[in-house]
Amino acid sequence: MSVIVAMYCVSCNIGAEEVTADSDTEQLRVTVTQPFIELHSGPANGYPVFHVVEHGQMVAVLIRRTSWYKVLTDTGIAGWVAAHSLADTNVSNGKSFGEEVVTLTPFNERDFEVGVSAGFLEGSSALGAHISWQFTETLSASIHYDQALGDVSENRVASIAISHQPFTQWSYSPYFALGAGIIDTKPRTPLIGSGDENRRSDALMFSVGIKKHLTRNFILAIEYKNISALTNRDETEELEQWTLGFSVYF
Amino acid sequence: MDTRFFSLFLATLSLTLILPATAIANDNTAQITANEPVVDPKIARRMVDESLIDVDDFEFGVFAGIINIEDFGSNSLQGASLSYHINENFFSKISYGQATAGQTSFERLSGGSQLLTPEQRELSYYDVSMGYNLNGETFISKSTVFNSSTYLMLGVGSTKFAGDNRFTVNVGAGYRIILSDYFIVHLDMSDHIFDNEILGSENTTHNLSFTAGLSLFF
Repeated sequence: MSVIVAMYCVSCNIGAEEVTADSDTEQLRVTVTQPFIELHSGPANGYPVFHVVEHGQMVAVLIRRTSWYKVLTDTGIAGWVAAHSLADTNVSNGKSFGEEVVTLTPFNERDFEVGVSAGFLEGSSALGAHISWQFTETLSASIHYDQALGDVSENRVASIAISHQPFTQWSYSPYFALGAGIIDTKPRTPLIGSGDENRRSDALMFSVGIKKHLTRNFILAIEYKNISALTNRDETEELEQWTLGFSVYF
Repeated sequence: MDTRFFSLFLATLSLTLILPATAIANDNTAQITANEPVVDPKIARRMVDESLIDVDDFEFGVFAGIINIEDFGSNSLQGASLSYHINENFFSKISYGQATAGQTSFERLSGGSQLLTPEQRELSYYDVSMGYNLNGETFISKSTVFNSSTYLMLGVGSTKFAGDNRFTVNVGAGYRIILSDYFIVHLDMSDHIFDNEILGSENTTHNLSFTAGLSLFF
């Protein structure tokens, strides 16, 4: 995969830089401005440093894995550089790699969130997954699927929700959500009959929670959800769920 | 006297607070005027974006091996997994696997009696785990060396067996060799722990699996 053919032409154009390259083999090239940068043999701190690239030399940046970049020197040596080392290198016209290369979407500008959660629904273990679309800074729409596995029965809850997060700047940011969905309840087979007493009911839910932007593009959330199952019987069945969730945003 | 001191103090305080602010404001306006181009070239400077760099935080893999379903013998297991690498040490992984349970000793010895229907013998599971990498290198020979890692995993999930979904905790360890920038070979062993009451009383079962797999970074 080592393509060294790619070349960048940096042409100055009335104070503006334009970057052009061969269409297929375009690479991002940076100049080392520090005395040197260290190349590790793998994408982690524990891997040994086997080469250094000196001040003024150029490297091509090929791959990013977590916070490590694989670079290729002009002499054909490939190694991994930590993101913080690469941040100070010069991309073009005095601009550093750290300033120019947008590596992550800021928390407040996220579009999508994908996550999983684990917790308790009325005393039984609950697992869930969700995907949400942030359509304004404070409002998002989401789809949830939860499964609660109890000793007597199994509940599956599929729902859609609208969530409001009023204080996006807060480090621990509260949110409120309203949703609607369907609950399937299935009794455990060996205890009660043959399992043909499945019940399905509509449900409305309200949840409150706190989101914390952990690091990079990760979010931790604690949530309380109150589910009202609209059963055929006279009374509405109330279920309470507590979960801890982990999600990634893009 | 006190009031005079107080007003003097207030005056000094407001001066110290306001003066630097106005100084900064002046500075800013000066800078803005200086930076304003005489002729606007109307050329938007192209941002160097990360699309030129291949971002490989995800890993998709398939695996096959054996799973020992407690009381139901050792059986072949196949599955797939998707991992997301959070940093050099932590990763999260979603996996799905399926197997078909064999017969218990009781079923074999008693002749005709069957505890489960063929449909109930199908086992499938999914789990969500967090993993921790112990990064290292593996020296295959004097000149052949690959980056590798030994990892520990802990997760929760659901196992469908004998007609029911059961809450499952999985504990495991694995070893991966990174053959190239994109291609990985891995060996995993894990213990899928869940409760079942097929043989009368409810008991916690340990179901060990050993698998080998291939995966790709993308």
